[in-house]
Amino acid sequence: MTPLLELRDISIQFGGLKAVSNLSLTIEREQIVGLIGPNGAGKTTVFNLITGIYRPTAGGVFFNSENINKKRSYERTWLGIARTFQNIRLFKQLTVAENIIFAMHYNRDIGIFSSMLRLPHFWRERNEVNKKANEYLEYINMLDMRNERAENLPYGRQRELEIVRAIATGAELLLLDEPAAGMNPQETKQLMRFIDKVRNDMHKSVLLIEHDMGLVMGISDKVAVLDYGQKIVEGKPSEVQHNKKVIETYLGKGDDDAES
Amino acid sequence: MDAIFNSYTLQIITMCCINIIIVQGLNLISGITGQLSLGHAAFMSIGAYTVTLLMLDLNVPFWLALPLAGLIAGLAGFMLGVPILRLRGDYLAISTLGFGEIVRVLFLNSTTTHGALGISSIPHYTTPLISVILAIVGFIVMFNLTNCRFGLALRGIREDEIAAEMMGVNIAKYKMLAFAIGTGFAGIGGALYACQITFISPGDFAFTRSFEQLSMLVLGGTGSLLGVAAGVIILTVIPEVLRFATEYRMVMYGLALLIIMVFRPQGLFGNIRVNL
Repeated sequence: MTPLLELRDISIQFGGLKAVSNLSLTIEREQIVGLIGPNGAGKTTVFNLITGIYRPTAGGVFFNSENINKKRSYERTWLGIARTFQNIRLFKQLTVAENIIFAMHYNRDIGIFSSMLRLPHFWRERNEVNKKANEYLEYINMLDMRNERAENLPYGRQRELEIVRAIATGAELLLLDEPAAGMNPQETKQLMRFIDKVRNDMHKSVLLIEHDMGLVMGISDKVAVLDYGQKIVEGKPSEVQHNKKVIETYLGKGDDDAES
Repeated sequence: MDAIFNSYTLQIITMCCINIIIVQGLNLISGITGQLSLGHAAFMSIGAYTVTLLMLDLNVPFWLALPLAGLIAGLAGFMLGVPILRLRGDYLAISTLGFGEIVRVLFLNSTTTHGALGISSIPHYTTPLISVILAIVGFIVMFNLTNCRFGLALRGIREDEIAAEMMGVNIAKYKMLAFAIGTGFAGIGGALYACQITFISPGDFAFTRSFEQLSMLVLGGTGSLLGVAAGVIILTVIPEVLRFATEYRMVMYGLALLIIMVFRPQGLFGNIRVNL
C-alpha cells in the first residue's frame, strides 16, 4: 500500500535562510508520527508546507501518491489534510457547534439559493448537519456546551474542540501542532489517550509536533527529529530516545560543556 | 393619524428604509465578514446613476431599472474585490476609500452624468410603501443569508481567516460574494434614493456619506441585523428632532454619537467584537 503522505526531498528557503532542507518523511495509514526538535528547528514550517501556506522551493509533497504542490490550502483540506494550530485558532465568537459545522463546509450539500429561499431541502440538511455535529460533540463529551461560545471554554477543552474540528472536515490526516502545550501532566495524559482513541475509532493518521517527550514517545509509531531544518534521525521511539545525535541536539556535546 | 403621517414624517420614514437597505449591505461586508469598507457610498452612487440614466436616457421602466442598478453596483463590487480583497484591515479600508473617490471623480467629470451639475427631475417613483416593503424584503434576505452555510463561512472568515481556509473554505470566493451582495444592496438603496430625492450630483456621494453609513452600523451594533435598523433610525431621526437647536444641532449629534459609543462600544444591539 502506498503511504498516505509522502514528503520527497522538500526544501524551502526564505532569503538566505534554509528553513527546511531535503526533508523526506512518510506517514502510513493509521500511523501516528511524532515530529520533534528544538525551537526553531522548522517543525511548524513543515506543517505549513504540508498545508500549503508555503510551497516548497524544491521537492514535492505527495498525498495519496498525488503531487499536491500546486494545490491551495483549502483544496488540500478537501483532499483530506486538516490541522490544528500551536496557538489555538478556534472561531472564538462562534458557538462550539458552529465551530464543528463550519468544518463540514465542503461536505455539505446545500446551495446559497435554497438557503435563501428556505426550501424544504434546507431544513432537512440543517437537521442532518446538526445531528452529525452533535455526534462529534458527544464523542468529546461536550454536548452540553454546544451553544456556548468557543472562547468561553476552558483551555484544555478548547484544544480538544480544535482537534475535533479538524476531524469534522472529514480529513484522513490530522496535523496536530503542539496539542499539549500549556497542559498539566494529568491533561497531557488524557490527551494522549484521546489521540490514540481517535486513531483507532476513526482510522485517522496523525502527524504530531510536540515538546512533551512523554506524550510523543508514548503514542508515536515513529518519531522524526528535526534540527536546523534537517532530519537528523528517524525511527521507533525507543531507538530515537537513545540515539546519540538526538541527545546532543537537545543537551549539547559533552566536550563543549567542558570547554565552557 | 394625519398628524403623525404627514409628508414630512413619511419622507423621514422613506429615508430610514433606504438607509436600512444600504447599511444592511455594509453590515454583510464589514459586520459579518469583517472586511472594513470606507467606500460604500460609491456603490450607492453607482446604483443611483444607473437607475437615473437607464430611465432618462434609455427609457427603461423603473421596475426593470431598479434591479439592474443593484446588479451593476454588485458587479462593480465584485470587480473591485478581485484586486483588493487580498488586503486586510486598514490597507483594505484605505483602498476602498480610494475607490470611492475614483467613482465620485468619474461621475464629476463625465458628460453623460452632467458632472457637478448633477441630474435633476428624476421621476419620483420611491413611495414610502415601496421603500418599507423593500427594506423588509432586504431584511429577510439578509437574515436567511447570514443564517446558513454561506453566512457561517463569512462569520468564520471574520473570526479567523487562516483557520477558515484550513477548514476548507475558499476565502477569496466568499469575500468576493459578500462584497458583491453587499454592494448590490447599496446599489438598490442608491436607486431608491435617486427616485426619492429626484436630484443627484456627485457631491451627494462623497466619503462623508460612507462614514455616515459606517457610523450607523457601528452605533447600532456591527454584525447585528436589528442593530442596523436601530442605528439607521437613530441617526436619521436625531438630526430631525434636534432642529430646534439650530446651529448647535451637529454638536449635539456628535455628542450623542460619543456618549453611545462610550457606554455601548459594541453598539446598541451588538453582541460581538468586530476588529475592523
